[in-house]
Amino acid sequence: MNRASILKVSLSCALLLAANGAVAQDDLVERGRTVYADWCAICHAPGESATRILEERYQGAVPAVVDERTNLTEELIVARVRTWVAPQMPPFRQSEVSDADLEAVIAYLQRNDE
Amino acid sequence: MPLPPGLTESDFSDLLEEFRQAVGSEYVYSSDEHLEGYRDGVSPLYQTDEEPVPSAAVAPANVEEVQQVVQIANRYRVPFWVNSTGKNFGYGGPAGVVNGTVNLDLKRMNRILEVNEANAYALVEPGVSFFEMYRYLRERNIKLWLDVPSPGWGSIIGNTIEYGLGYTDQGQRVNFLCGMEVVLPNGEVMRTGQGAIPDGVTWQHYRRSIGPRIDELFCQTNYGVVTKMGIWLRPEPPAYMACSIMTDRNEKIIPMIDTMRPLRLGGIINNNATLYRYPFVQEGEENPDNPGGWNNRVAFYGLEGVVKQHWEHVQDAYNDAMPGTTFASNLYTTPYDLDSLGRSPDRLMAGIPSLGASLHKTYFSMALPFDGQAAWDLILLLDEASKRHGRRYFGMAHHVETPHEMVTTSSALLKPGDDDYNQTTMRMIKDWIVSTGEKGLGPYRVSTPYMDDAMAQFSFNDHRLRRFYEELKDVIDPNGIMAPGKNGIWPRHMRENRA
Repeated sequence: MNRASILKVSLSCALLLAANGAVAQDDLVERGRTVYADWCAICHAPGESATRILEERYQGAVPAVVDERTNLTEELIVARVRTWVAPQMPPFRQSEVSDADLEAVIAYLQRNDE
Repeated sequence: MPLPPGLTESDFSDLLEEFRQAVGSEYVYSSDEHLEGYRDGVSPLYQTDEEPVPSAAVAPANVEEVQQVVQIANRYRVPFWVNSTGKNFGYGGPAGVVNGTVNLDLKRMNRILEVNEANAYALVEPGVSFFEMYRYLRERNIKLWLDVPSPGWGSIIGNTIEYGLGYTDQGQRVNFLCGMEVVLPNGEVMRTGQGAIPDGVTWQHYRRSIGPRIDELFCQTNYGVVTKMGIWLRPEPPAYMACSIMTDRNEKIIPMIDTMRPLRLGGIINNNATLYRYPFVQEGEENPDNPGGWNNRVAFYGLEGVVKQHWEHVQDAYNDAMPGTTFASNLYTTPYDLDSLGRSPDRLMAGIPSLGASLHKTYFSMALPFDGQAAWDLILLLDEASKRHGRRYFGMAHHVETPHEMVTTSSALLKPGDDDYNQTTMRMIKDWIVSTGEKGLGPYRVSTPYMDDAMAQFSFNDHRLRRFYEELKDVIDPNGIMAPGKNGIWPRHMRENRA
């Protein structure tokens, strides 16, 4: 195999890996969307209780609907989901939102980040 | 996190390993991070030296795994506390009474085993929430309605066996419970009622067996882990009317309740009617000179003409007794567009779950005669008790769960991180419990810091009732491992822990 052929194969492999990575990320985001709908939207959908609290708190500075935000860090999401740190939000246990679910929710909430 | 009482580090390590073998390693939790959600973050004791903190949590997937966990707990004499979804925060989080208790988390047991539309019942596991059941019914276009409490993420089993109340004509939901499967504290499985017949075909139809009906032995107690329960549902009515009857003054609760009583006793009003403060003002922010009035929420279900006629009759009764009363109503008929109810308060009386409850309130609920003066006297009594702690009380909610009594729910605020404020709240609630007990009134339901105080009020003949409960406890659970201290029922070897 000449050098050009090796380069072509390598490039194909890299593109394939990247495509697989993108697909895997898309799957993760879709799983996160489902978990979010099952567990988070009850309070965080437009018009629901947590959204109304956040509307009052942020006064339009950032979106009150959580899945419209583009600046949520992994640390913040984990803290909100796993601890009692938020005044009006209880933690969710592993039996409810597993670590894999949480990873997916993070991917979903960060899908539109810059 | 603490060790379970009486266990060494080595014992605890062995215990966790046995749990892992029973349910799989990914469903046994012992790290601080994983146990945070099993603590009671809405307790006045949270993050104080007095907080009972779980040592571990284990989440079985089926009844066989529950049996194994209970058998392991017996071998190690380790106390465990059961939660189904652990999210009825007005009465506390999922943590137990004793420090180092293992939390038995039933959320993974979330199967809806049967819905029988023709006979209007369901058979569910403890992890099934009201939201999940509601979605199940709607997605399959099953025309049955489910009675729901205000926090829809709660467990149907958990809420019902804690005597949780709903808002429909099945609002005293425990009376619509039909058949249980229970893992006893020795690990054996028992089925109640007709379920005791192998392959019994009327388990969810007929509530007794031969002999006494014992399902309520597993309600608000620590005698077994309920792993299945039948619940009767109601067929979708041809018409549903949600109504409000409003007064502008707090003391008008007296004629309001007395006007409602004959209507409820006579079957004109059939749902778990409620009275809420109106307009709603957050606790601590009321105007003492005029804290507002009451909104009496009632519902009618049935034929459209009958529903309308009942509502007219009810309005006439209130107008006669209380001139100036204002009314509002919404009529819904089949085919229902339940989504159109949006966030309307009409949702709850149609059995549509929502999530309006807020954290950091602690509830104290008690049974009252269905009598206006009794309700008013209670408000004054709790206000006097509150003043002793620098607070005020103007009433919160009354649930007319039967034609003969009301459950009154009172709440007091907690402030995360403000220990002084929270300690005052706790002292005030204990004062409420004692002050009402002295007037011959008893709690219906409290959270863990108040369970001993609540049970202490039932002291007739040297606490004979409590001693009876504990005699049963010693027989059913000789190692005293299941939920010690639950509602003031302690196993023999831990009775010195009683507050």
